[in-house]
Amino acid sequence: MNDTSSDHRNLLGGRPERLTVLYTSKPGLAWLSIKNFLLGVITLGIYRFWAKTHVRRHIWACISINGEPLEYTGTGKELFLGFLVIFAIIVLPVTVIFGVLSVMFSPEHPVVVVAQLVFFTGALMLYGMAIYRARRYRLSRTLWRGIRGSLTGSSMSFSALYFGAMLLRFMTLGWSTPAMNMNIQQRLTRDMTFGDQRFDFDGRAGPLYSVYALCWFLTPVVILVAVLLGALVVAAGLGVSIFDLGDAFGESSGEQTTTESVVLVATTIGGIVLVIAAYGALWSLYTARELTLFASYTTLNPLKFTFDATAGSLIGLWLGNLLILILTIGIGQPFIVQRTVRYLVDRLTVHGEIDIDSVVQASATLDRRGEGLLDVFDLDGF
Amino acid sequence: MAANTTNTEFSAEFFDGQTAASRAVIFKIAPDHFQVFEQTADLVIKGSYSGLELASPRQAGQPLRVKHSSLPAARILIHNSVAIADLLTLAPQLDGKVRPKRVLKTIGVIAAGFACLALFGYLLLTVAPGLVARQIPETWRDRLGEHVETSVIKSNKACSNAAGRTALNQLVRAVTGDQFDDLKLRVKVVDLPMVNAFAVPGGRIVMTGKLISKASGPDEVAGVFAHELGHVVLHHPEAAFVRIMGLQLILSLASGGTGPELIGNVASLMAVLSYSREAETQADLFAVKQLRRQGIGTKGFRAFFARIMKKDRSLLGGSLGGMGDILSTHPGTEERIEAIDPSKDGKTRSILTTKQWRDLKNICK
Ligand SMILES: [Zn+2]
Repeated sequence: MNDTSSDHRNLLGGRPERLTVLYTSKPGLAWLSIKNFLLGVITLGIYRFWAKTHVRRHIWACISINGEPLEYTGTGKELFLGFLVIFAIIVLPVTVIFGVLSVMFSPEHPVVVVAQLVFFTGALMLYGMAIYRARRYRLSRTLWRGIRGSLTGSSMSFSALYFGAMLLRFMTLGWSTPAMNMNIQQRLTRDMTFGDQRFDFDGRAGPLYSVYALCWFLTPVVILVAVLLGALVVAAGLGVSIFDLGDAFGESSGEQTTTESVVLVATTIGGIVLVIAAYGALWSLYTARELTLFASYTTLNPLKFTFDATAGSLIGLWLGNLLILILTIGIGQPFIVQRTVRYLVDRLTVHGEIDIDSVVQASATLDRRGEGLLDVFDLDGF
Repeated sequence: MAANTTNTEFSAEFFDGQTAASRAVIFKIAPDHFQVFEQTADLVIKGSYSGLELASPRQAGQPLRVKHSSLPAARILIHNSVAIADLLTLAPQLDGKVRPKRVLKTIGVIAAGFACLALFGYLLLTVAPGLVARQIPETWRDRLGEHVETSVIKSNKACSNAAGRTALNQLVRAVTGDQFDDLKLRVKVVDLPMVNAFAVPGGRIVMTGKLISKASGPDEVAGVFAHELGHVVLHHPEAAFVRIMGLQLILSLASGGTGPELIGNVASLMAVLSYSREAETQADLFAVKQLRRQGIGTKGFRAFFARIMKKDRSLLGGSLGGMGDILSTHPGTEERIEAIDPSKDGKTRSILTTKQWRDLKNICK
């Protein structure tokens, strides 16, 4: 240990270092987006697994920790095989069963209703499993300095926790959300490792409740205001006073012109967007608080984390993403991923020092297949 | 740069895939292989240039990150630009550029995948339906038929004038003879305002009241009925249903959705009622054969067919949007009409008396 030769330093364990996480965008994402879109069209969507993989490879390489980028080692083939397995064990039987049921019974028949309920509940129960397995796959395919990440728990029990949280949320009109989100995050974090180093998560959901209550009670107010504003805009667009709106919508005004109906449709859509935007803006207060708090509860002994999320920046992120989605009719999806990852990376700070050289590869076996379930539910943007 | 030198040594960085430690190593370039040594002169890897692969995309201002097939978890980082240039001449695959060979290979894989998918789709949509259709249990077939029939007929009433029904039974018997008792045929006339007929799974045949009233003789109705009977005997309605399920499977394969929603709706059930040209020709052939066997002239069949197809297009459609059976306007109608050749009929007989024909005409009254 008292060897002073710097050449041998690495073999004998290094000195603790601070970690700096950076996102450096690289050229080529636009071309990748276009290529993915075109190949997706040509292959009737089957290319999506390879498209996803290439985007991840690009974006992972843009994230660097202390100058060394992350490496994504997953392949399109793995994702495709994962999907095929899920297709064979879930999609195929479900399609056939519902096909046969629709043959045997009318749509309102109790058997069909029960089958649909079973299917719906089953889908909800598998949802958590899908999230967990997808995360496990991604972590196991993420390398930094040759060391993999992993998620070591049971996707079954996570699925049960996730389903329980959904039920509870429904039963408590949402009031269980902060506590259950914390439980879920705790499970995900504690199951996560980098090499042989395990993440930890400790804290209470209490500090989330004041901002949750604020958002909860303001929700009806904000929606009402947005609806009223929308109605005013509609009224202005039609050139009628708000009290005549009933007539404008009713069939009594038979001589309604096409321009009027176009304005009506446009303003109605605008109104709906306004309501959604108002709702999103309000709840970004809560999301920002949650992100910040959860980061502060997370440790990778001896490292601590802080995350600088604000409602304003979240709204900016969402609006920008929405704009990209609309303006590029979805082709620009990789840029949405990039913006989101960049937001997370730019605002994350790692505190403390760690002896990187002492991190050892964990010997966990790798899943051979990709995140099949998640593709079926289609809930990931990454 | 000079790649022809026998031995060139550069310092490089090495991750062994076992620990996160960065190790300073020596990267030795020889004409036919490379070697990586520890500072202590211990050999870490010796390998061929063809086994080298980029671990991360190349990036300006960044070291070249490579891995070798003999030690896939390890990473070699080469910072020295001279070393990078030398290495690129020996292992050109590391330049990160698109290779025409690779593009061709990708296109080949996509094409092969497509061929497989197309074959799978072809089997699922053409061969499988016919085979599966015969295996559908009778109770299922019956339920399906009931389901489809109700969604076609909706609230329109089935014509049940007693004398008309007797005449209809007489006509059905005349066409079937003593065959097809095992099919449990159920023939209905429904008061729908268009000229049409359908074969529905489970041996159900529906003809519209308007079809009966537009026919100018019992042989014409018998022809239409014989055609529908052909569909029933050849399991076309069941096969069409299986085909729709297959189509849905293919769609969900492409979209990734589960979707039990498509099937079971009326639109897809309607599609059960329209068949391929080949199936129609088969049903025509069956009809002609069956009519002749029972001593019924095919002249009426041909005449009715020709009249409806050519002149009375306006009679088509209605609430079914032209999706019914005999009147679906497939290409090749001419040939289908031409294929019915009454001059080849043998001895023919009259199947209904004038009174019975009048009764049948009045079945919806
Ligand atoms: Zn037909």
